[in-house]
Amino acid sequence: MRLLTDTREGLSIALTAVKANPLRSGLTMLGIIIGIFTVTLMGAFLNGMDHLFRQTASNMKTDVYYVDKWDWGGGDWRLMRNRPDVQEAYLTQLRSKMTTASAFSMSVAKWGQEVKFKNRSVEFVTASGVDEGYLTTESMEIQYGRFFTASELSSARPVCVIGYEIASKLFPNTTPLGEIVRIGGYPLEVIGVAKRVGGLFAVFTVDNNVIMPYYTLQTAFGQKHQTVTIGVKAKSVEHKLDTKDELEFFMRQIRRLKPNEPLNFGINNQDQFNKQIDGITGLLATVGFLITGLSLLVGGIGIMNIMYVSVKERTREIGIRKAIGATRRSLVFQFLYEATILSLLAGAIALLLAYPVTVLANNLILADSDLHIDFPIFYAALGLGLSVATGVIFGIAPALKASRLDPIDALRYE
Amino acid sequence: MDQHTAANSVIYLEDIFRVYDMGFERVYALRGVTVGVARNEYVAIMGPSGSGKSTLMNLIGCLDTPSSGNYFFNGTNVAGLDDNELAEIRNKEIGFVFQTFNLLPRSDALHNVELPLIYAGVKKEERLERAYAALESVGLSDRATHKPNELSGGQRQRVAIARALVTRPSILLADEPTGNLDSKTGEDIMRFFEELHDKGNTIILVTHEEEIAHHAHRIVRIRDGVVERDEKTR
Repeated sequence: MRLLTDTREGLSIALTAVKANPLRSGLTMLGIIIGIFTVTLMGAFLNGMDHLFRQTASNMKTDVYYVDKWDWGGGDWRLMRNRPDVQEAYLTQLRSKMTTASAFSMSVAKWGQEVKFKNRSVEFVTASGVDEGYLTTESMEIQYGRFFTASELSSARPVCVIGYEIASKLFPNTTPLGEIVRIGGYPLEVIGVAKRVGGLFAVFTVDNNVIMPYYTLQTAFGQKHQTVTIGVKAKSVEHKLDTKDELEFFMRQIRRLKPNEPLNFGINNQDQFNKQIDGITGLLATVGFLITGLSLLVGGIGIMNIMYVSVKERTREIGIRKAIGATRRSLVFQFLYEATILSLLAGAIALLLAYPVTVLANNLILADSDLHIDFPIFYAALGLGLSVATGVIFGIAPALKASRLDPIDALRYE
Repeated sequence: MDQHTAANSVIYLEDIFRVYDMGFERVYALRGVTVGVARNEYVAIMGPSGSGKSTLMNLIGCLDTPSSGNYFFNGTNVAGLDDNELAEIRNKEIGFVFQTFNLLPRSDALHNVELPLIYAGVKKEERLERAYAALESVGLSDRATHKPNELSGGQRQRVAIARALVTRPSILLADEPTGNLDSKTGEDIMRFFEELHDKGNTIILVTHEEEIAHHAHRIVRIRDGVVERDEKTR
């Protein structure tokens, strides 16, 4: 009973105090508003990233190893530049020696090309010259049309399969099949459209690719400094590391490397991207929580400061309340309620601001992207919890001070 | 006044000392005060400033505790009670009336009167009913929703009296209740105290004005921390 009446009185005093000083209360709340706003938006973004990450990971071919001049995970660029090129001939050798591989492919990529159809064009696409094994190692699916044939490959026919993104941009209303597109000025007939992959790295996938026979690409772009990428798909996903070891063994043999010599080629796997995504989301979360923590700390100190001011201003009121029978506990409650209401109000304002931002971001900025963010209920609840905690933690010292005032001195205070 | 004992008095102070330790010096505000007040008495405590009168009032009002001596409130020794127990006595047994009224400026008259009942944990309906009745008894039921700054000095003091009475306390402790009022309004308030006394209330009036003190039926004069004289005036 006592607790209930204390609560009611505490709430009504707190609301009166907040209403009496709206500007001061608003400024005090700013830090917490920023903190909760940040944690909510960051939560929305992390949720979206996580979702996208899972979608991307499911697209990744973790059982395919790529022999490349470069290590995809990074490393000393100047050292890797001096490595010998990966030769087309390796493919035949690996194919005849390896026993744990189910498929092989060969590809060459030309980054940052422009593809044109009539007056439309798409920039920064990748032109890939591949062999027939590419369809299997990349688990590529054809949405419309067909892939090129072995004879089209060997005779370097000017045909191509285009990615979904390119198809939708160059041919928004018509079918691309049978049309002639130009890449680097070289005309190619579209014979197929690849199925959409999507995900975080859509720009690096088939979606943004013009795929043509390997020898067609040689004709179109020339053969100088040609290093290829060889894809090797493991027979069994469980034993894919055996495939990797076997691949490394035969590549060392081909390159005539002694056992103690370092590799002069890269054996890559798309798993490496997963680690990088983890790193990115981890960094985002760290930065977000840091900003949140700092804002809450600043906001909390603001609340503590304003509560000390409030206690000072109301010294006489505290004296009156004590004289007519308020216990220490009642006064602690009263001032804790005031601090908590301030911080909770700040939390609620932050959520009211964050909600339209998530909606707008979704509909405007992220409309064309695979990243999709929702208002994060969990982080919103977390935010409200954090704001209450901030109010209580930073309100307790001023509240205790109020409750310990000597009633005689407080009554005499002018 | 030898008929006062701890048993038959509402309040009974026995050999009360109050010493302030000022670091290198000890100040004796009260040095052995023994005084009792029986039910339905109307007593004035008088003395010049520095006499220990205010210290005595704070002790009677349970805002302070004595350095030594016993203080019986309705037979219970309150000298050794802790903060919360003193708060409960202030809440239930003592009605304060101050020189400066001491109303909460942001609350209306009704809420000011209701406040002691909130701290007593009384339910809302009963609280409002009793607060309204108390306002009615001081003739201000039509001012219930007025804030203190919308009331005259006399009206404010009446609200304060209603707040003091609302818990039906054992004593009404008034500290210079007319000090901030003009003489006519002061007379009104003193007449009102007389009525309250007639209705059976126990009133302790603290003042330095001879004229005001003479409204009481007994005057206890304090000087240099001791009772100088204790006499019935009517």
